Parts: sequence; structure tokens; C-alpha cells
Amino acid sequence: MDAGQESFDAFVRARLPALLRFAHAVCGDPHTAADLVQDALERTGVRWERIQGTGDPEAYVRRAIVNGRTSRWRKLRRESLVDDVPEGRAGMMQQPRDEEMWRLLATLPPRQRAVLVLRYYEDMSEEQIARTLGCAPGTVKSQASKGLAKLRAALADQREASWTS
Amino acid sequence: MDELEQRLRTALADDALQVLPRPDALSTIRAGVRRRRRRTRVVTAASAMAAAAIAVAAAVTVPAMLDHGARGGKPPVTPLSGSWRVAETVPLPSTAQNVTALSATATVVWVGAPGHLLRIDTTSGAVTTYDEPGTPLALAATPRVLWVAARGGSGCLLEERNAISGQRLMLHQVACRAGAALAVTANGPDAWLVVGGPSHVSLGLYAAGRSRPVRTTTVTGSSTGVHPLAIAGAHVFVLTRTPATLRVTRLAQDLRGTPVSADAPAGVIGMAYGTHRLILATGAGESWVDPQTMQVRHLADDATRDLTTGNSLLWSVVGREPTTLVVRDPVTARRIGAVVVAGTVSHVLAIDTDLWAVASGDDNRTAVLRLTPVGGK
Repeated sequence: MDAGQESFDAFVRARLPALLRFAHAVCGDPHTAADLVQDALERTGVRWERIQGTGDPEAYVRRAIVNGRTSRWRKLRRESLVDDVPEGRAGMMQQPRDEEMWRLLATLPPRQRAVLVLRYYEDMSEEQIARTLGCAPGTVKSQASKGLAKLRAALADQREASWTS
Repeated sequence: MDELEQRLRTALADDALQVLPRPDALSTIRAGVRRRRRRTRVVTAASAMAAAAIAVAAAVTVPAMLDHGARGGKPPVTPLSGSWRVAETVPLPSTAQNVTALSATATVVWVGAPGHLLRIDTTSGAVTTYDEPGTPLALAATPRVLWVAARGGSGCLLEERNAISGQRLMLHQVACRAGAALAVTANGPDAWLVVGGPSHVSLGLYAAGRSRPVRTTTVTGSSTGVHPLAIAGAHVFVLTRTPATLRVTRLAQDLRGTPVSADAPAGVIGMAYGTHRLILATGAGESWVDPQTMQVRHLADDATRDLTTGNSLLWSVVGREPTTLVVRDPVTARRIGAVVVAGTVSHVLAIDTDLWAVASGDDNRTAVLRLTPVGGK
């Protein structure tokens, strides 16, 4: 096995669980997360020598995951698909979670959701998020602001509905 | 930090996001990287040849014809686009001319015939024959385990064999009616077996090394098609026929939870999974199913009687004597190439960018062919 292959394998072994969690946060579904990570790592593996040379291969993989998610979302939206078919999660999720917040996150466009995930899950700064997503810090700021505003409005609507019902 | 931000942090905690990596994740990723590298070479070669495709189609016919008589009865093959060539031909012994099943991994091809099982080492070309207690109707090969679904005199069997030595490791007796359809597919150490019945099909999950099925369930309808079973992402899909309709049903791989069904197109005869979509073949064309939403959409209009997918390629088997193997992009339906086999192709299986095909020539001799992209290995 050559050195490039060894370093790629080591990278995958070390970062796979974290990348799966990140993808899960970005797309909201563990099965899609596994597909997105597989796809992103395959793309990374093909160009590993060059990507490794940038010094931050994980940023490349994260961007590939977000782009993969965005691309799927655009395609589904173009085809006027709505909610996923309800299904069990095949034992992949053991922990209870804030379903209301997950449902609301699922309503955000992928870019806004990715910004919020990187900010509140990865604790990244605006500069780091901008580098990861390949956009300007100003875009990060506006996307975060829009995403939070939507979540606040949706939560307020839900509370109002629960008081009046 | 306000309440919303606090809830976001809590919702996005590690515990709530846990996705366990599959045990074979690294090897699957490595294989994916290799496939993409090969695919890049194929697409590059196909693009370079596209300008000359018409000329090639006309000119390649004679040079591509194989020496039919002197080399063990290989069926003549004409690559219309010039993108694939016959890299290997393995004539099958006279005891295994009536092929009933085919499966393969990157290094081994398995062929089933009544009373026999053949292991073809693709590196050395060595053929090893094993006795089988019945007729293998479906094979599912993984690098370590071969699963054989067979019908014997007293019922149905699911065998687990060592993929290296061919030695039988486990034999499961499976209840079935006479003439029941069998299908098996495998992923890592797990295998899924479908046994057809008159009003429902039985679906079982088996694990290598275990003497009993992990879980079994049933799906309404009788089994239908040449490939009624497929794995797609985290799901397993089953094709069934009820008096009113054809159905494709999605179940979790552990067979727990509620199955989700959708109407399949009329005349559907099989399924294959590739590039995040489930491809359905009908006698009049191909459709695809989004594994998440179960929405069915039209893909192409080949009169397909069998199909297989590999490395972002969809192979459709069209016609008999000659048989045309149409290669498409499963997402855009763009036709990448076509290969004409001057004989009948009975089984196909794509592995990466290669295709393994069981073909019979005009002298009724049967051989296993390996088609490889021009410029490939």
C-alpha cells in the first residue's frame, strides 16, 4: 500500500464517526447521511494527494457533504417532492431528541441549515464556516440570521397555535 | 445565548446525531474510490471515441469477430461504440451448460447449474466445480461468503459457503412450495432470501456463521420477475405481484419497522440499485424509484429483459440472438455505448466498469464472457 493510500485510510478511520454525525446534522436522516459521507469520501479519495496538500482535507469533505446535500435538495425540490416517507430508523438512532427542533431544521434550505450546524454543532467561527462552505463571511452571517429568524418565527407560530387550540 | 440557540445546541448534540459506521465502511470507500478512478478513465475514453463512433460501428464488425471455432465456441461480439471489448472468455464444461445463476466479486465469478456450482478465479482463470444438492436458482457473492439459494428434491435450501475454498459452512432448510421462486442478495456478512408463495413472499435475513435466520417477515403478493430483490442504501426492496397490481416494497435491512410500498410500472421484470436510485426494468423500458420517497419515474425506452448496475453504469439486456447490451448513465439515461453479442445472453452482472455475461453461441456452447472498457485492464 502506498503512503497516499495509508494516509487516506488513516484519515477515514479517524474522522468517519465525526463526519457521519456532521452529515446527519446537515441532512437530518442517518441513512442519507451515510450515503453523503460515502460519496464525499470517495470524491476525496480520488483527489487525495491534492486535497491533502491543502492542509485541511476535512474542510473539503465537509464542503462535499454540504454540496451533496444541496444538490439532492435542489433535485427533490425541482421534482416537487414533499416529505420523506415516514419510516423507522433501523436502530440507528438510540437517543431521544428534540423532534420539534429537528422538524423545523428540516424546513430550512440546506445552506442555512449547514451554517447553523457548523455554528452550533461544530462551534465554528464565521470565518471558519466561510472557508468550509467556500463563501464570503458576509454570506455566512446573512444565512445564519435568516435561518435563526425562520426558526424563531416557526416556534412562535407553533406556540400561538398551541395556546389557541 | 437565547433559548433558541440553546435548543439548537441541545438538538445537535453528539448523542442525537450518532450514526454507527458500518464495519466494512473503509473497504467500501476504498472500492468506491477505485470505481471512480476507473469510471473517469472510461468516460475519458468514451468521449475521445465519440467523434469516431459512427465510423467505428461500421468498421469494427469484422475485426471484433472472435475466432468462433478455434477458441472454444466463443460467441462473436461487436462493440458498437467501441468502448468495451471481450477481455476474457471461459468456456463452461459440458456438465454446466445449463446455467441457472451467476454472481461475482472483483476476483471470483460463481456460476450455478443443476447439481453443480462453478468457481472461476478471474486472476488465474482456474475453474473449480463443486457438487450441489439441488439446482442453484440464485447466488450472492461477497469476498468472504457465497450464498446459494437452491431448490432440491425435498424443498429449498440456503447454503453459506466459504468464498475462498468453496467449502459449505452452513445449510439452512427453507420451507417452499414446488416451483417457488428464490432470490438472494448479500451485503457484508448479511444475506436476504426471498421465497415466493402464491399469496405472499417470505423474506428472511441471515447472518454469516449463524445457524438460524436473524429475522423473517412476509410481503403481500407473489414473487415476480428475474430480479425481485435488491439492496438500496439502508433498505431492501422486494418486487411482488397481486391480482390488481405490481408492487415494489421497501423494508429496513433489519426487516423491522413498517414496509412502504409503491405501484411498479406494468410489466416490470427486475430491479437493480445504482447511483442512489433503484432501476426497474420492464419489457418496454426502464423506470427508476427514489429509495427515500418511493416515487417512480420514467428513465429510458429499451425493451429490456434483464438489467444490472455497476459503477454508475446501467446495463440493459435487449433482444436474443443477437443480444444487445445497452450501457446508460442511470441518472441522465444518456446512452454511453452498446455491445452486440451474436448469441443469447442469459445472465449478466456488472462489477465496477466490467460486465460478466453468460452467453450461448450458435453451436449452443455456453461461455462466461468478461467485457472490459477499451483502455481498461
